Amino acid sequence: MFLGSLTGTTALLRMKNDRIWELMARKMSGELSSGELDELDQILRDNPHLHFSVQAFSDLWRHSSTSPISPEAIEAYGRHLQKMKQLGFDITTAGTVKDDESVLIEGSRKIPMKRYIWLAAATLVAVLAGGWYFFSSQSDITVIASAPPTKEVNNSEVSTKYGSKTRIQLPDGSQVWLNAGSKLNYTSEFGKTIREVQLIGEGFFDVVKNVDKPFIIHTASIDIKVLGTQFNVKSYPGDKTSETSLVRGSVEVVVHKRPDQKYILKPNEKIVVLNDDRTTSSPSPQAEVVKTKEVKEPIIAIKNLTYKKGDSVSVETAWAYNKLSFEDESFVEVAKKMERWYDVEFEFRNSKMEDIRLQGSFIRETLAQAMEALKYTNRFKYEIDGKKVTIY
Amino acid sequence: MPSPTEIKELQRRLAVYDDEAAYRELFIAFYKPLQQFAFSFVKTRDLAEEIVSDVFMRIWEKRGEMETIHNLKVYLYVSIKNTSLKYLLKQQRQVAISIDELDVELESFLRTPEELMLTAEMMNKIQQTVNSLPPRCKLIFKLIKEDGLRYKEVAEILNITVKTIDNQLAIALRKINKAVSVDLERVLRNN
Repeated sequence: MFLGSLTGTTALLRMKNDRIWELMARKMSGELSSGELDELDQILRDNPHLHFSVQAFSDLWRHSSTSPISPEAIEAYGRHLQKMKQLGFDITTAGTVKDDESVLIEGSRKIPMKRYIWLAAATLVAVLAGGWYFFSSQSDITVIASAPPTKEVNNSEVSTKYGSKTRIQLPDGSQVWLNAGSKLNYTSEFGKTIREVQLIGEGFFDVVKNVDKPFIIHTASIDIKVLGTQFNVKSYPGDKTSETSLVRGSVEVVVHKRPDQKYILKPNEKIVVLNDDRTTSSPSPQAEVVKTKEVKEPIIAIKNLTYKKGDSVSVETAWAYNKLSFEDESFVEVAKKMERWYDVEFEFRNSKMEDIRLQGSFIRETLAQAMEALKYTNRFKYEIDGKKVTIY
Repeated sequence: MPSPTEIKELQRRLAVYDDEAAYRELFIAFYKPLQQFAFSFVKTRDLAEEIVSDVFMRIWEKRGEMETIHNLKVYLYVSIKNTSLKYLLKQQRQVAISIDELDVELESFLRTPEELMLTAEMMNKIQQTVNSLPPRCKLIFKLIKEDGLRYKEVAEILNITVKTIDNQLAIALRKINKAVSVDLERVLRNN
């Protein structure tokens, strides 16, 4: 009944309504004077049926005001700097002699805009490693940052639970986007002589350039060394492989099980390392090495990043853009991604389904919508019960 | 987006110290809204990015004068508008452009509907409504709600009056209200 008065407006009501919306818009945008505030309050008291809309607008406004710094902007800045360098403005000369970016620039001097965007997009790096052994405490998106001027080394730890992501700014200004179910650790020594972090799970890194202090990411099965660039590292315990994908610049990867060899990645490449199933709880790097003697050699492969048609962001780094994306991956692997993304658990009652290949890309779909979409192209049955998804 | 005081401080660092970190911060903070604003004129992403890049290149060249710019935010938007129009002219695509022909891109505001009392379906509806607003209305709605600009700033950037902004936003809100109410009505009926 109360809604009827909204749809069946008279001309007079329409005029009055417009005043309401004018005042509402002013209120949301922080432009309301105190006289207008009284006027709005009075209108709302007289029209309690508007309460829902008022609530809807404040939700809408509150929500959009927080626009996090996007990886897209950071990549665009990289391209902007390159363009400036080509035109003779080198604004980053201080402290840098020859950096990773010079490789790209030599080849790109004559490249037109389009190609150059593609190259930059190719610089996102994804690293996937096995699991981390160093720290054991658990918490949900907590930051335990403590670095008082004492001699002891303090740890900072940031972690995310399933279904959530977060962004961290490190003391040197580098940014890390931490994907769901991940953990990043560093000590108060960070940045003093060397920049070192430990990662379990997946992170997209935008590292501030500093040739004197290399940035090193340790994961259970690989270490990644960079001078300043953007890349993605994926290293979830229990995953079959660890990956590092490079979008821009260059990185050096050392696989723990082959410490003598360094793998240098070029933009648009990723290194995939087959994890040893037992990496998750090794107490120390030493133990790790000893243990691997009895295990088979890891399989290491360098591959190109995967791009979906018409998409400038690779499948490997899509999550940092709030996109859940997969291309020709087995249902088991996809289920792992979805478990983290939606904070649910998958169970396969029909093992034949585990190996079917899936592709998909979801931005704001709910779990039910995503499952429906997958079912549409692949014949399987499923049931969602709370946080449990069963595949038949 | 940084606060006006923070922006002022970044301007100062840029002017006094040639501070690259401050420059970077400004670029990154403004990139997305400016790129979207440029896009509404030139209608291609590559070109929109190039325009932002050009404008920021001039900021670097003129960094010494940064402190004399009263409202950098307005300055940036106006520069984007002018540069975009210059590009269009150069391409001879158009001699003049009216705000009513702009192609406004909006951020999706569906990031986490579960945090809101609105259902995803309703948010979808709102998004559709906003997307189908007339260009002028949509642009003003975007600049105020999404980019967080003040009424006075938008008036200055688009060369319109504050009264026009009031009117256009009232139109937007009335339409959204209608979409949400109809939807709610249906939900209630079904129960």
